Amino acid sequence: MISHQLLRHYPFFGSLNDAQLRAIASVAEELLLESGQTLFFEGQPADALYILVDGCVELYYGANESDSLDFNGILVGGIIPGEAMAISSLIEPHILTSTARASTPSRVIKINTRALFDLFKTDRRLAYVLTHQAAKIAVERLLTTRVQLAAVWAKEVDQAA
Amino acid sequence: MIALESLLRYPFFDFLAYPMKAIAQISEEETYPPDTIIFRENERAQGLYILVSGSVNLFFTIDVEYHPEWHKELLFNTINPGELFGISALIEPYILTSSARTTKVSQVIKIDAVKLLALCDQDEQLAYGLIHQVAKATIERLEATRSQLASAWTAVLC
Repeated sequence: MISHQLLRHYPFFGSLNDAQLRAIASVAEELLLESGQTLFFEGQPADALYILVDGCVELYYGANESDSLDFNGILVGGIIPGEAMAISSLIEPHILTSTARASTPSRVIKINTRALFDLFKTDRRLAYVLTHQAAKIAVERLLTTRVQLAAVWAKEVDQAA
Repeated sequence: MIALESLLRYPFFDFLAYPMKAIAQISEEETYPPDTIIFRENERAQGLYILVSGSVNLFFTIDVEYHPEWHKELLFNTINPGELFGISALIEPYILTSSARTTKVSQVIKIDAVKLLALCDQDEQLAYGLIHQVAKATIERLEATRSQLASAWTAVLC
C-alpha cells in the first residue's frame, strides 16, 4: 500500500476524489528498478498498471522475451515521470503490447488491476476516469508511432533519391 | 434517427441496456459511393461511426516541405463491417487523427458526437461502456501501427 497523497500528484488520477484515491492506494505498491531492468514483457498478461514516479523507462516493440540485450526491439516511446504504462491492463484481452525497460534507476507505482476491477464494479465514475485516461494515452502513442512511421518513410525516400 | 434494431446487431453495444433507444435517436444511416472521403484528419470529429457494410480505409498523409511530389498517403487500418471508426469523437481535443475513405459502396451509422457526449454526461454506465470500446479499438490500432513500423524499419535496414 502507498499513500494516497502520492497519487494526487499525477494527472492520470486528476479528477478523482479522496476516497477514490485511497481505494487505489490500498491496491498499489512502489517498486524500484535498476538501470537496464525490464519491468514487463510484450505478449505477457497485463495484470498491473504502472505510473513512473522518477527515472526513465523506454518502451520497445518486438523485443526478445528475456533480459538479454541481444535484440532490444524497436524503440516506440519514452516514459517520463508522471506517465502511465501497461494501459493494456485496463482493456481486454489484458495482454501487454510492448516491453518496458528502465534506462536509468527508476521508481514506479504498481497498481494491481484485478483489485482495481473490483473497485470498478461499485464505482462507475472511477472506471470511466481511468479508462478514459488509458484511451487518451493510447491515442497519443498512436500519433507518436505514426510520426515514427513517417520518419522511416522519409528515410526510404532519401535512400531511393 | 435510425431503427433501434440497426444498433442491436453490433457487439459494440453489448454493454448497453436502455440507452440504446437514446443512441438510435441521435444516429443516422449514410451511404457512400466507392472512393469517397467520409472525413479528413485534423477536422473536428462530428460523429462516431459504425461500418454497416462495405469497406473503409483509414490513412494519414505525409507532406514534405517544398517537395509536393513526395506527398504520400499511409494506409494504417482497414475497417470491416461491425467495426468502429471516428473514435476521436469521444477523446479530447475531439480532432480527427486520420482520414477515412470508402473502397467500395459503404453504409455507415453515424452517431452525432456532441449529442453522444451529452448523453455520456448524464449516464456513467454509458460513458464507461463507450470509452472502454474506444480504448480497445485504439490499442488494437496502436498494435497494428507498431507492426507496420517494425516492417518499415526492416525494409530500411535490409
